[in-house]
Amino acid sequence: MAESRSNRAAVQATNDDASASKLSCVKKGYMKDDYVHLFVKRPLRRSPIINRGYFSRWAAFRKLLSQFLDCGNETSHAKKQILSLGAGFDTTYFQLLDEGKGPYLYVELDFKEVTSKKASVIENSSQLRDKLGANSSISVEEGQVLSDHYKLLPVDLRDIPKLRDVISFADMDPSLPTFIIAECVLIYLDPDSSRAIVNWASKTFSTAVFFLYEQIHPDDAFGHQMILNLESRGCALLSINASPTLPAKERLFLDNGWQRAVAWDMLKVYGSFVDTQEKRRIERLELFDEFEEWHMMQEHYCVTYAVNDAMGIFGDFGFTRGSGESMNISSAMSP
Amino acid sequence: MDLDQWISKVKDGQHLSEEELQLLCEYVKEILIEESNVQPVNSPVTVCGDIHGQFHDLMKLFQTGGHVPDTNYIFMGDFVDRGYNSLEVFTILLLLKLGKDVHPANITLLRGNHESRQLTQMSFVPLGGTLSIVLRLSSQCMFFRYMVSMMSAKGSMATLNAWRYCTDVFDYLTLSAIIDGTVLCVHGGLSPDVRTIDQIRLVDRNCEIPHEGPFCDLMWSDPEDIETWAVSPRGAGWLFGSRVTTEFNHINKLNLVCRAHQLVQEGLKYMFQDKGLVTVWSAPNYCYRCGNVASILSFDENMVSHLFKSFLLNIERDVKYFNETEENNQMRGPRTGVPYFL
Repeated sequence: MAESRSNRAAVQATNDDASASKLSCVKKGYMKDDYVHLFVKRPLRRSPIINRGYFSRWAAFRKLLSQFLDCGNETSHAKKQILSLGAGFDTTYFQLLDEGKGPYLYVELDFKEVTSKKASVIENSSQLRDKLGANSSISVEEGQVLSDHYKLLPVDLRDIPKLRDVISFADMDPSLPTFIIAECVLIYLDPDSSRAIVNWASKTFSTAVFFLYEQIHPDDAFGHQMILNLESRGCALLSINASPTLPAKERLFLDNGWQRAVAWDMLKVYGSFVDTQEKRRIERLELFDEFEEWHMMQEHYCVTYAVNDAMGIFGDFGFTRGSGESMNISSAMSP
Repeated sequence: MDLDQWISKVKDGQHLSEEELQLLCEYVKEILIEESNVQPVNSPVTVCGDIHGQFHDLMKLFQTGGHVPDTNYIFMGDFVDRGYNSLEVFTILLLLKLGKDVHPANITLLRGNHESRQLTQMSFVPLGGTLSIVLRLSSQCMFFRYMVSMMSAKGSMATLNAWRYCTDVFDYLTLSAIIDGTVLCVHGGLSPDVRTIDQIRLVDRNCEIPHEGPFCDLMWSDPEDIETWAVSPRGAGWLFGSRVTTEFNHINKLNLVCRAHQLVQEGLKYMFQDKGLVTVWSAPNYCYRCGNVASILSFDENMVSHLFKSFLLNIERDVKYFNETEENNQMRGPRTGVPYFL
């Protein structure tokens, strides 16, 4: 039954799972996040492989986000926007504020059921509410939080016209450099919807980075089990067969208007992109006895980033920045 | 003590009571204490790798390879953790060791790195006068389900005692077995401190696995495509290569080192040019996630006469492969809880 393979509530519940996993990492010392605990009712300790995996995802995301926030500052393109699709209970905005890196505008979108819960937590936690500033309004019923630099809004991402409306309601400036995030979001949608979102994003934002983190390789033994297991909990990976490999993830962007795109699997990301010192630090946190599975898990996830560079500020943005290595870039120009 | 009744109980998915488990553990320790660090075993015998709490797959293993005592077995450790039925797996293996129609030599249980308090530990957090158990490894903890079923009856002390009885048995499990003097079976691998098999005999094994040294290495090391030794990413044991293995086999007049410890997708994997080492893995679709095949490796009586390794013909050894049981395949409950990055 298509309904039981993929249902809205189960997909939304992946947010709760991810939040609990992030809290598990934080409690073990993998990363700092002073706010995620506000969103998790029952703290759970995850296995070391899950902790390390969430850390690697967070580290890659933060490193690319930092590059984005630094890009073009010399040329006074300092006003930056961040758009988080399917943001769930993510706390990046509040952490960035603490780090003194709060962007000009941070917009989070998700289903109303999720944004309502988030709005409620924000309303009831002074540590979050106080960071919004003077001109803020919170509506739990509407699932909406509005403030000068942070906006939380409800939308079904599959509805492109509504997506357009909500972006302009949020006062996003499409000409400003924008970092768009989709972490395990598009993969749950049908392929037409995920393509449409990628396409819309490219048409809308001319100087932008799209950060995608999601699964690949449904066809091998591990991938096959992953598909079965996720289907059995109602969050089938509806888009995975449309983009099952790294080149296919790159094509998803290149074929939908993005200028360049690079996809690396998480094994490579962890091995070659995450800072060595950070890896040494976290590898000491727990006894880790799951190497074969670690390889398998990480090989079935990837980070793909796509770039539109109308302002010409993303010249050296990416995985190999500063490494001296020639970038293995797929671009719209090459076959 | 009614062994047959206990065996039926466990096969039916019930746990032994705290008292029954205590008695079982006491009796098995008396048998295990007699075993040598390098326990001699005669062929024919079937060697098995990690089970990791996959009880229904263990039943399938016996269907595939034959039941005790019709078939003799060596289990190379890692009976517990990860799978949902660690306690049942450990209990049934102890019951088979003790079986009334079974001679202790029919089944040999080696220690693996998971037969350790450190990896199966629970931590206890006093909470205003009452003890509340905080599971350190959540669903990985072998006592998660035992606790769920016992909590209502007797509460946390029962679980603590059960854990203590079992981890005490771990300290008695032997380190290795040697089949007909020519095949060494050990959970992990080799140690730079162990050049001869006699050096294994010198180890005092009646304790928790140390953090380093020969005992630790035998439980934690891995073969690698190198020549000699390298630091292991596991943080315990070593990586050891082809030259070291060939020398070890030569010095000790072995044909083969048989070990487990590492998941192999194909169930069985020979290492090195001379195939002097093989990894056997007996947990199919490990953790409901890996989609791998499992295997068991049998040595028949004829191996004694074979001085050369006939790998192509495989006449003296026979591999059997098996997949997860239909039961495991259909189990919706565990499938929905399998962890991924979401």
